[in-house]
Amino acid sequence: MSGRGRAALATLAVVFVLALGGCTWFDDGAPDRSCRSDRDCFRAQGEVCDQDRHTCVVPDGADAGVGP
Amino acid sequence: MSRALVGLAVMGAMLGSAHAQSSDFTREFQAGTDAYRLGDYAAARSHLTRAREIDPGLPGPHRFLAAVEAAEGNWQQCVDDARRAIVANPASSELAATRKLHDDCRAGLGLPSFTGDYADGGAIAVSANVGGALIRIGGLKLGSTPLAPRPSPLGEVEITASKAGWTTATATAIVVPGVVTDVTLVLIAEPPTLAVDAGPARPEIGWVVIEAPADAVVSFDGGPPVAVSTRVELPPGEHTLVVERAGAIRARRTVRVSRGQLARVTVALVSSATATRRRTTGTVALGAAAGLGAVGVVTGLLAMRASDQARDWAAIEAARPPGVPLDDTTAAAPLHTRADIAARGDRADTLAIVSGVGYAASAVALGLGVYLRVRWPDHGGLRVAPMIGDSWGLAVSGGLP
Repeated sequence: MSGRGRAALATLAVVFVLALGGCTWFDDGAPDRSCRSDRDCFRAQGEVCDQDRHTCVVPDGADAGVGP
Repeated sequence: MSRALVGLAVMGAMLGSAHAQSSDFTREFQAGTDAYRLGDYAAARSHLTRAREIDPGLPGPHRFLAAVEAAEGNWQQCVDDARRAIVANPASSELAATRKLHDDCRAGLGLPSFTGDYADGGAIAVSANVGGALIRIGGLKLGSTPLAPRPSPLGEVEITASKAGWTTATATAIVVPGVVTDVTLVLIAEPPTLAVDAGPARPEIGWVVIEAPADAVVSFDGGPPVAVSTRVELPPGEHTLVVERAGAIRARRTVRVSRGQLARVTVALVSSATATRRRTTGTVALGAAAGLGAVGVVTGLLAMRASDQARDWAAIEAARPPGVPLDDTTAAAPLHTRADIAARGDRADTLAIVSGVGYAASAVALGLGVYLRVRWPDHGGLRVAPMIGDSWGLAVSGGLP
């Protein structure tokens, strides 16, 4: 491979690595408990959306056990 | 003529003088005139000189001294003494005889006589050691040397003589009535002038001095070797300098030469062993950069995968129907609690941090490797110098291989 070819390959590699690094850096990450309605919460696990705090919570006394 | 003149002069001197004459003066003057009449000119000169010293303002001693000098052929002294006599008493009754004595002595000097009319003034004649010099009298151009006797007003006049190649001579003279006042000027040849070119030609070359080890071989543009630390003439422009030495890496520079400018270039040769070590270190650094970059890429991919999993699990749990027993749905989609999702998110964050560190370390290693590998020893450092000549600005050399 010629010197120019090596340079082009090295450039592509650097661009790829930088793009991948950018994707990692700007990834949204794991979801949190925020919600706007009950549909955003794990209703099957007994969660409801607390409209005051916009957070998914498990109401006291609710039978939302996750055990089989 | 002389005896008649003497008689008249003695009488004039004795009777016509307004000065009070002392007995010493009278004795010396009489002795001088007697000696003159007897032809004893030496004694006459001695007595008359003493008489003149006693009273320089009386015309008699001057007049008789002029006569003594004329008798002995001393024409110039005769003229001078006659002029003194006329100046001492311009109204003397002996004036005509004194003027004749003056003119005769001038003729003895071979000087041209004045043929014009004095009227109430005098005349002046100018000569110089250089012919053709322009004569100005009182600022007026009156001719060139030799200037024949010409009428002139009485009193002090300034005479200048000038000629190309000669210094201008200036003199002052007092024009005496009824006689020609002779002025002789001496012009001095000007020293040869040094021809200075007001617009020297622009230099067509520049110079370079290479400072390098004495046993190094230096050459420009592939030409024959030149000596180290000596001035080398080169045409203006860029030149490729190569310095070689056994056991050292060949050094190459781009040197810019400007017209009339001296550039000094110091070349520090790098030994082959040092260069090898540097390149090896550079290779290791590049390898480390690749490895660290791979770590960054892999951990980055793993971080994104973990993050995607956490989001997928959350989406599944949000979509899981609340009215259906969990046992019925977990067969289709495994159950993940908030703790499971948070743990997966933490794992994604950790992997992302590892990926970032890997990228950063890779970048540092890459820079080091590029510096050690790409910056070859014979390229040298950047050299920046002011440039004066064809244009103004900065000359940069050594920036490119």
